[in-house]
Amino acid sequence: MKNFFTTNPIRAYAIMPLLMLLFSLIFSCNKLKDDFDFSKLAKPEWNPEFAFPLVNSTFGIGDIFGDSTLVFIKTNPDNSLSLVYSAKEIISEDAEKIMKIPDQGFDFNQEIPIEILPPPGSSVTQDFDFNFQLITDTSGQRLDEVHMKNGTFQLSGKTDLNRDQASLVMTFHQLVHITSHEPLTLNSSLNNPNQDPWVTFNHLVNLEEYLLDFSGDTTSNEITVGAEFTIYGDENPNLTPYAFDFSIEINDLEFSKLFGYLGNYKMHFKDSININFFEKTTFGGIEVGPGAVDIYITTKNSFGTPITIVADELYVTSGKNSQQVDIFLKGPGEPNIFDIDSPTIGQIGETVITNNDFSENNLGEAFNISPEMFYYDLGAITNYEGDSLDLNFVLDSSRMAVDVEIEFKLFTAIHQFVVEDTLKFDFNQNPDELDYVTFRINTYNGFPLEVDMQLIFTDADFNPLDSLITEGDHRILAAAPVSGPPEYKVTEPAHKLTDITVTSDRLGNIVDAKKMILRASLSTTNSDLVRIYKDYNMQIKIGTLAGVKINDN
Amino acid sequence: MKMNTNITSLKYKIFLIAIILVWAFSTNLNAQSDKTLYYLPIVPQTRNINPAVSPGYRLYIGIPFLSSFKTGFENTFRYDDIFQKRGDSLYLDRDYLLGNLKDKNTGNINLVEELFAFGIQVRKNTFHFRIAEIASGNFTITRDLIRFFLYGNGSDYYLGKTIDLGGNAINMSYYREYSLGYSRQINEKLSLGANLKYLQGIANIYTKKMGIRLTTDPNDFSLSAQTDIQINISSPGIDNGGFETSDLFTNTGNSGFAIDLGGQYLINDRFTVAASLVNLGSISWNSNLKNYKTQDPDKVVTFEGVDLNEFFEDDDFNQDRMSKILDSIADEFGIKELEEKYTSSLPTSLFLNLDYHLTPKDQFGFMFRNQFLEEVNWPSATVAYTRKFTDYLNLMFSYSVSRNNAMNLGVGFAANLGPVQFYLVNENLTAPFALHDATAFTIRFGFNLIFPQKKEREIEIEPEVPLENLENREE
Repeated sequence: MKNFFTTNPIRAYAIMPLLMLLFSLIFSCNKLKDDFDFSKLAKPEWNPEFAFPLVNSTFGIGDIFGDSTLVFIKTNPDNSLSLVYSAKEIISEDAEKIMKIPDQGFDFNQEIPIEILPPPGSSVTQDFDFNFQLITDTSGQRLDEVHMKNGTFQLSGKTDLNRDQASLVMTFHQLVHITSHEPLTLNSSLNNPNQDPWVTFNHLVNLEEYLLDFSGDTTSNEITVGAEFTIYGDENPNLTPYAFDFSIEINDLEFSKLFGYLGNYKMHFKDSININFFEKTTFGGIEVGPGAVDIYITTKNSFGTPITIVADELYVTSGKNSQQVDIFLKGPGEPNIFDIDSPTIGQIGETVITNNDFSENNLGEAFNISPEMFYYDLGAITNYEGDSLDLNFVLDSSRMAVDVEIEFKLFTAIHQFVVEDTLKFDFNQNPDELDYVTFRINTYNGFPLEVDMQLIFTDADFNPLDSLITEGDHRILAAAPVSGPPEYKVTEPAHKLTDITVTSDRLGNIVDAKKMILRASLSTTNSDLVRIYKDYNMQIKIGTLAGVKINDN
Repeated sequence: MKMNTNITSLKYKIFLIAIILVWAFSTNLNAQSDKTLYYLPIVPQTRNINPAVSPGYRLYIGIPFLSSFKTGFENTFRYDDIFQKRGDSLYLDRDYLLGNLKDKNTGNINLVEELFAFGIQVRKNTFHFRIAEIASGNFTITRDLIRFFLYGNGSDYYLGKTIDLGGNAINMSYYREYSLGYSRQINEKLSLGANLKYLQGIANIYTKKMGIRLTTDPNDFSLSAQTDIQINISSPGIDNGGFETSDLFTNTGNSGFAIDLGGQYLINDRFTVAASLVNLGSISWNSNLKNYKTQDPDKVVTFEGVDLNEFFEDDDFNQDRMSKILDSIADEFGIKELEEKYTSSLPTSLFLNLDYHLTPKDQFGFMFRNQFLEEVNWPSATVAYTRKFTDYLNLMFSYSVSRNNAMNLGVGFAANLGPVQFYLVNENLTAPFALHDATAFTIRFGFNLIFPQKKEREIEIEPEVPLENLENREE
């Protein structure tokens, strides 16, 4: 049978190379699988290493303390720094709420003997005097003048006088009208034409136009009353003696000004100050240099009375070791009592500021317990050692304010002062890609402070999984050298290079961690006294060198 | 085949880098330009090498998707230069690898899938049309760069020293070609032809400049770099890190044009010369753009790390912030991410041919080809022998030599079986048996339907019959 191949034998030979070509295609496909089977790639004995800078930060003192509302960083004239801790200013109530004239009442019962009645058409006058003492809310108070802005004075009474026509005039000598300067005089009609058993009278006076003027009076706070009866003659029998009863009610008395000797009042100023410098301390205290800690108590006073501050409570506490130390403002054992300034009579209505700087305090000594809270309860007492002959004054709006500050000049010696902080940690990279990681930490420390550091990685329940530094030097920061007294100033920054290597077996622990505890031990240069200046800073550079695993997948 | 996944941004970048590296290091995917197809004159696709050439069919139609498929590679290095086989295992020894590499290592890849083609001859004029998917790539990778990745900048080799990582380049394009060709027999000796091509760019990565000088400080690992980089990328899904398969067809924002010119001259019965210039053109990339460009090439920038507070959020360490930090590093080095249009040139090839016709059935040929790339030229030379058993069966053997490739024995054949033509060319016969040892390999095959000119149809001649036998037959 003729076909394509048999009719031309040459075609048959030509098929051979064709088959070779096809065969080579098929063979190559099969060979591919063998030659390029990368699953047989052995793990190399080498790892590429890649270096990369991670962190380059410069920290000043402001960065270390952050934007805390609890502390203010103050620059002193020599550029050294102080930490100033203060409490919110405490303001007392106004004087009108502290000093009050209580509501009070007085009753009088008097017999009026009228031996000889006047004949009809004529009259006779008979005088009687009374007095009563105004009650005050504190003992020993001598009122010279009380200017009133509110209050009522009520006089009510009765008599069995049986005259057709009679009258009563009562004068209250110490109640003086502020405009006419005349004493309060009340006229009452006692006419009794119907021969009623009693004749009554009643007066209500608003005291806002009056003042109580006790000046010139030798008896304190006494109101004297003059009563003048006028009786007209008539045919009515004489039933002498006649009864005369009256009562005085003084209510809702509010003063606008008070003059006199006001006696003792006590105002409390109680608060606490959070010293966050020790907030993260777990161990150790610090030694402060001489005069490094000042306590400032600033008062603003508009009471026109001598005021003495007596500290009922003044102490610091440390929550870490449950210790408490009493604070003495003027030195150990000295009572915490001091006077403040008050406005004079010429400064009436003004506020006088007193700045008390207690540099002899023992708070610096208390720093060795790492105190976190400073508690105070200051009592401000008027006329503490007062002379009753003194002249005081207050306005209704008089008040007092107290502001307490602690200034910690950063002039201190620290030895292994341990602070600790806990941070949430989230690092979910696959550690299988890394053979090791080396962190190269370069610090250029312009602070006279050395730091030994450790990072502890824990799970969510704070069970430790691993720590960053397992061998070698924990010192990350070397302390900068300082000059001697009095400046104790850094002369040049200190450089420290630290390598921390974490191998792949440990990387897995770190990746699993949920929290990171930073624990640092701080010491000043040679554990000696140093000052911290405004221009100090510290530069931290962290680079990483990673050995990358070459995996077959 | 459906490739339809939304790829995350990170994986998309890895995908791009993997494509680059796989193409760089896998001998399986490197390709070389056509050299030997020219010596199968009955194959219509020879006009892709010289548009003046025409096999003279009245009509030919490429079978869709099967008319021409070509893949291959040509490198200056081999798979065996990279991996060592010891027993049953493969080893990647970096010193071994680096010892086998040159200072500059180049590669050339090419993947062509002809979707459709046809040609029609009218008297002395022949018109051609084709649509083809073309993936073309050229790269240069320096030994220094490879050493850098194998050792790392943190190794003792590099710490404290300045590394020059320049001299690397990539120009990879994936585009669709719509070609309209014309050739004419001017006279008995001379024929001329041209192909006009509209190019639909789909994806491209093109490094116009890749200068990098890097120093790693041994004390704190800070990085100092001076860069002169201009990398242009256009790709669907570049902004959102993912693309749909349909994007590959509807991406029409990047247009280009190219031209092929060719001529063939019959000196005499024995000698023919031909010359052609192929893929003279470029593509303008206007959509799905990203450019990375150094703002100040003279500036040396040092990166020493970021502020410690960048790693903390509300006083808690959060490593997710590291990705934001890495994003800012490019800004530190003055490399800006832009969206600027750019143009990339196609790798143009020049072919010069001299053919000797020993007999009507035996032809020897010499071809010189040079591919003009941005960084380098890629010359090669080929000698070939074609045996025309008939006008419907060609067998060809070739030998090619080019940069770093001295032993490329090729073979090919084309057979017209009725109206169906099948052809196959392998430009490196030994490569399939030892791909790991090959620096070049190209294979091309295809199926066409051919309809010859009626006057050219051969009448099958029976073997000569002696006269005496002829008389008997007549009886």
